[in-house]
Amino acid sequence: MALLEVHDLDVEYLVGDSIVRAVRNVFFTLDEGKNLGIVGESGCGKTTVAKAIMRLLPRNGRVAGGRVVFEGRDILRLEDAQMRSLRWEKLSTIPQSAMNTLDPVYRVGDQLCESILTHRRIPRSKAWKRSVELAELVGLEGKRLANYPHQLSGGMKQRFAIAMALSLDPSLIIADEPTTALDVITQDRILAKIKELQEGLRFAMIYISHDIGVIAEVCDAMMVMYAGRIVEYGITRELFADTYHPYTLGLKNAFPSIQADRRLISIPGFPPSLVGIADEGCMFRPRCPFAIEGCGTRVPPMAEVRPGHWVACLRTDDVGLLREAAQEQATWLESAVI
Amino acid sequence: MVGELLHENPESQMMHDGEHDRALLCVDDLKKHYPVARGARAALRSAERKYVKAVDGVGFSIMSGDILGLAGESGSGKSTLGELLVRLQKPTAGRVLVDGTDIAKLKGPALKRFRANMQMIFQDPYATLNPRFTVERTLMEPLTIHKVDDMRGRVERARVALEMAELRPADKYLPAYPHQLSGGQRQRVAIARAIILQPKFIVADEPVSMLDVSVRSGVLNLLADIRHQLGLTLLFISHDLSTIRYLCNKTAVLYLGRIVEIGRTDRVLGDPIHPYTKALLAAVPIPDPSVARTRLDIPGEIPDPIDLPPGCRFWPRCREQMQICREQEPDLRVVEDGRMTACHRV
Repeated sequence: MALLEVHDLDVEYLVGDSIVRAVRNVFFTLDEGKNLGIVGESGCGKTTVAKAIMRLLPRNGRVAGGRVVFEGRDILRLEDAQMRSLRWEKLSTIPQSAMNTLDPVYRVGDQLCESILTHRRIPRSKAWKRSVELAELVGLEGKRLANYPHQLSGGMKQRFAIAMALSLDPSLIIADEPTTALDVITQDRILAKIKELQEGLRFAMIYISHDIGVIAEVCDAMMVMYAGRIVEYGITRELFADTYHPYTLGLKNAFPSIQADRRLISIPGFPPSLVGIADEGCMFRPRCPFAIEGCGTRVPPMAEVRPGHWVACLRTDDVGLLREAAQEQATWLESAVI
Repeated sequence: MVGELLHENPESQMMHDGEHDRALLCVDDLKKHYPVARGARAALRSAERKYVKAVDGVGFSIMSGDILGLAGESGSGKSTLGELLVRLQKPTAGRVLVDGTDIAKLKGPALKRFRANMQMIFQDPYATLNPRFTVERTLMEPLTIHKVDDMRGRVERARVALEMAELRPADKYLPAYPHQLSGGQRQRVAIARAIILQPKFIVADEPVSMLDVSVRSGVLNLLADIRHQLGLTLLFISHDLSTIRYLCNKTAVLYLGRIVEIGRTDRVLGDPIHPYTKALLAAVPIPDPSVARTRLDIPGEIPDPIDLPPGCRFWPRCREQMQICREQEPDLRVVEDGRMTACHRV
């Protein structure tokens, strides 16, 4: 049985008087100890998916449909109290900016203890001992627990956030851009640390990032989201080697690599705002050089192009042609820049 | 395939070309030290004042037409150095010479001319444009300040700048307010503003790091194109080596306020010599799961530039340290044509 199954997840926000459908028909499965990467640009819904799974949507947001089955239970149907005990115990999170999640007026060790004591009936001294273990686990000296957040560097704070996420031995960690605010060297070290911890502790991860380089290295499977929907989802290696969706092709073109010498090609236009947008057809259509008539009239259905590789595009049959054309800069100039 | 692609677009091709003979900008032993705040008690004891040595003895030149990439971790002094070059900050010691003139000595009309010639593009396109100004007013302001042209001429110049920044048709963007634009469009307005006075030199401080991936490369290509068209010289500050490698023909790597390696990008990033450059490069994730990367971790973290170790500032983290590294700070030395490195190993 999969650790986490998400079926047809829909999430809406109430913005002013209108409803913004931020996430539509998102589905995936995640097995124990595996990593799923979610890539996409700002506003594509990747963070909303994470928050919906954690049941931490802001007040104006709600899950409008779908199921989130975690260890066999639909967590969207749990009582708040049940959910609270599940959160952190089984299902924890590493936030984007640890600088903002650590309380500046408490020592970091106390904060770590706090998260343990809230869920475990153990003496404080034991909780502190566990905190020291956790700090060492993420590569920090135990004496750092006596520091206040401002005495630590960004990388150290991020490690504490990881230690906190690990404190109750969860089976799933959702990391939302956990290394985006960090330097390459610190990022690299944190990624290596996470990998190492994962081998020992066997937790699964959902890894949210706009950096396909990071996803390519860390995740077994990946999902590309655009304007609230999945456009492509599959095994990372397969998805990179045999890309189907024009948006994914465009992202690969646009991303500089330290290794390759090629002119970067950007996708014309910019990601749409979901506020007050008409809900018909493929959302990528206005920026897509391969759009055909049908793209404007109906949302492309998810097609399984081979086992486990899902694509939402009407032109999957022409993929050979698309891949070749996508490498030409001229292809991406033709569609109008708004 | 790659070669073909480049040949199809010779116009917009990146110029990783040879040497230009003229240095536009020379930096000589430049330093910027900030005093650290001390408590009243320390002040009464007249305890020794401490300094953050953000830039600490930097010397290099930028040749006319170059795009110099400035790389380094946060806290290495990249932004401070950029601001010193356009005189947004005054150096503690050392000089910046532009076309042979010490910029610290400029006054009055000469300073104003200098300001028109040196422009900046900042990281956050949401913070650098006045939300109450239309694009037109934002673009006209520098022209008004520098008394360029009459009213009609100014609007025309604003139009041309927008077209160059690929915001077409310009008339659609002139009346827009920043909140009506996307991040990428705002950064293009900031670029239009930077080029409208036809400057010689632009400092771009992390100009694409806040943009979405799909529009980021467009802004990078735009910078390369305007450099080409306007004969600009650029300092491109970034922590992202992939981007530097893509855009810049020269690269300088900064560590704790000093340059550890500088030279042609293909040499510095293609075959790094300094252990720090090597470590930085090895940490860059590769967007291709079929390529395995070798990790080259360096221990510790970048220390505060307050209490710096004696000798080479990198030695506590260096995998190749020797005895001499702890005693003597290495100078930047020419190691081959077009590259200098500050390392005792060389």
